[in-house]
Amino acid sequence: MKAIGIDLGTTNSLVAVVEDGRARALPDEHGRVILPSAVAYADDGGSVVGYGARDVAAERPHDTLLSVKRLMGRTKAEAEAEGLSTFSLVQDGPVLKIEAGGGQHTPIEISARILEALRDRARAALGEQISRAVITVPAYFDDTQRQATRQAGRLAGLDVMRLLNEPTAAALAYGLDKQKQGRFAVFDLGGGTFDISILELVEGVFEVLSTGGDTRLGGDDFDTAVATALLREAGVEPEAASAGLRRRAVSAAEALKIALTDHFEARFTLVLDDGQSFDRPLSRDQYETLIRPVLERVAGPCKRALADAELRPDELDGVVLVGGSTRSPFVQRFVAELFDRQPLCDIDPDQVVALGAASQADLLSVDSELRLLDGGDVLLLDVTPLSLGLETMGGLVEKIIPRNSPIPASRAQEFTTFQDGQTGMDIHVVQGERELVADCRSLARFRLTGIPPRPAGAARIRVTFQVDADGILRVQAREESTGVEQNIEVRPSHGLTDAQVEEMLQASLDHAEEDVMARFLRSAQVEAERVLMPLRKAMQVDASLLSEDESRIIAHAIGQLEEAMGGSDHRAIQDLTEMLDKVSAGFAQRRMERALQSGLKDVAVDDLEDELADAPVGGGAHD
Amino acid sequence: MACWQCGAEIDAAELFCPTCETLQPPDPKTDHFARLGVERRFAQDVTAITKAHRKLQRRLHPDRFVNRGDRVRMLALQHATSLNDAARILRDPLKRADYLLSLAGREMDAEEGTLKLDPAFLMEVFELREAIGELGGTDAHVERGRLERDIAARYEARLAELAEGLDAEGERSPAELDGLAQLAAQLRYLRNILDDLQELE
Repeated sequence: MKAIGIDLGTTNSLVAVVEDGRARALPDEHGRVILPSAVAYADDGGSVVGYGARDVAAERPHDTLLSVKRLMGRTKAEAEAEGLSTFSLVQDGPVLKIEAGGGQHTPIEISARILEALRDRARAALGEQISRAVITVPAYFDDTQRQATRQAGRLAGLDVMRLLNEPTAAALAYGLDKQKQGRFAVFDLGGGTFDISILELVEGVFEVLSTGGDTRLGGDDFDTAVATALLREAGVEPEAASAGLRRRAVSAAEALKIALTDHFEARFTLVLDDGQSFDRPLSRDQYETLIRPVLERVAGPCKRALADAELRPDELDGVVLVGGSTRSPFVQRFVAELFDRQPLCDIDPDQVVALGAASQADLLSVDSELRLLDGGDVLLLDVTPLSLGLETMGGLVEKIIPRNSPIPASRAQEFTTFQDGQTGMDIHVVQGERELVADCRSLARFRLTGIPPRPAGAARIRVTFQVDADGILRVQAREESTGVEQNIEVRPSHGLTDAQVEEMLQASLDHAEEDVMARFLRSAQVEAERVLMPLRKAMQVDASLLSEDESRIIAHAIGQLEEAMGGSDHRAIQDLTEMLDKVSAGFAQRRMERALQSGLKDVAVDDLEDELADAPVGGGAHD
Repeated sequence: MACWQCGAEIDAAELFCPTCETLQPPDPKTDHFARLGVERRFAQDVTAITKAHRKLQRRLHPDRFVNRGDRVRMLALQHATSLNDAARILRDPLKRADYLLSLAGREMDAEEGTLKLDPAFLMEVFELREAIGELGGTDAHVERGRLERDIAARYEARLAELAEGLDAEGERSPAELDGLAQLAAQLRYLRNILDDLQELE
């Protein structure tokens, strides 16, 4: 079964897959690979996704939801504070909902509609069931936003194998497609965000060395800067301008930016509130002077990322451009200056993230195609994009796992009580780079109780953070003298719970469709039984061929397998089936030899050979 | 030790069971040097550490066991986490020194509060901090560079002394270990000062 890669973008989304050893983006029935990230809701509750939704956005602005990615994992207060949405938002307890088409929808459900559309496209294109996917997220996405993305995947009926950082995906696409070894900087400038990552591909390991960026810096800032400067030139103080005029000025600046991509000079035209029109020709150089201050802002994160990776610009082997805003010749020139080399843009910057996601999806599959290719078997070693820490006295943050730590990672820190006789301790897990808890994102709170009452400072509480390869954080707090402990898997403190997602999934599930996990389990059980049955019989018939040790080991393996078959871990059943096959290989060989020696008829030998051939060699014949 | 999967008798340091080829739990007795297969000493080739880390991650990372049972994937997670830890500690000279001292019975983490810094060194730190605080004026840039080189030289001299002490032949007396712990603590101070100075840029 194929696993797909999905770039779930703010404006556009894509799906890609590895076929014949190469990643390619899958088109819709009209040959278009891009799916606008737009969902329009009708009054009857039905919905339209993609171009159909985007095209009605102007007529039905309140029922057409765009850029929902910006609302993932956010509360109403946060969304409004950042001026993120023009939609009508409702905070329902911990859950944010958007009103559209006479109903209310969570950002997770809306994203799930987009993911379903891509999944269906892949099913149609590949003519097979698709259920496993790698989905990309911006590197700066915090834990809450990541969990929300994962839930959207689950709600779309997908088994999300991994959330992959967008710049990492882009670098993977370049590394695999262009067979380039060495160190890359990935420069990802979108409409509203900027990401920079430094990666190294050596000896089949793709290691993320550092990441950085600015979540409030993007191509839109060029337009704002140009609009502000030219309004002033037109004699209007930008702060005093009407909202309508400011919007018109920004649109005019955007048109100018696009015109200057292909021409050396273009006109900026704007109708002022008094009806007069302001019209001015601008050369590329003049435009560049206006946006220079914005461009300068990307330099800081780039230098920090290089410093974190302990590299100088000339030690890089390439700079990869990602994101629509990198099409601008000004950006390309600035990047060339900053890194002292021409940036690479020979993979379509719109597709490169999805292609990388598809590659990782393939590499995480049992029947991986890339792994069989020369230079294709790559292991990706990622890092934590943001620091993880705990709240300490005075609302300060104590960092436990600093940003850019390779994952999986585990770190522990000891704390103590600050009051005599204190028996409980609040553990508040936060994420972010700032010193104050109030400036970081709160991920979870829990309380360790049962600390033996002692003088202040006598108890020793060890808090351990474990981040697995998926970036999921588990926190354990343990009082060392008594061994009292509390464990939690960190889940977002707002948004949907996993149980709610499962409920929604059940409610929406097309019942004709089999649950994939149940199918895997059944198939593993059948396979195991095929190996077990003849072996049990052989152990009775040919017991004389077994040494005591061997008999014990095989009996042990059979017991283990039988136990696993009663559970639901299909992979463990496959493992044990495979192991049983290995530990009984010598026995099977001797049975074969005895059969030959005793001059059995060819037919019987054939039977025995069939029996041997039936035993599975690999772990998964199912995926 | 018995293989958790097939029960065959195996050496605790084996990564995979020779009989059934199943991944084994990390051996608690393996230190970070042995984990990466490098000699237990201070002088290290960082490139070799990076190489060994990558090679082992390719064998042991959970992504190499995506279709295996929960227990196997949990063991892979433990191995990969320890490998990341080992590489992080052994690549960094100060962390590597602290780690060697902890293997010799000097827990640096626990001692930070109790270790008494040499008063002469504290005076040195005080003067350096004062010099940084006074940076300013037209030639601050030049002065800062001079100061940075000065501190870097003190750092390098102590690091060389620590390296020699840690890699010396034979057993070290408690007094010698105290001296090395003192050096390691001083190096941490100097590095913090250098970091702060670089942030002034």
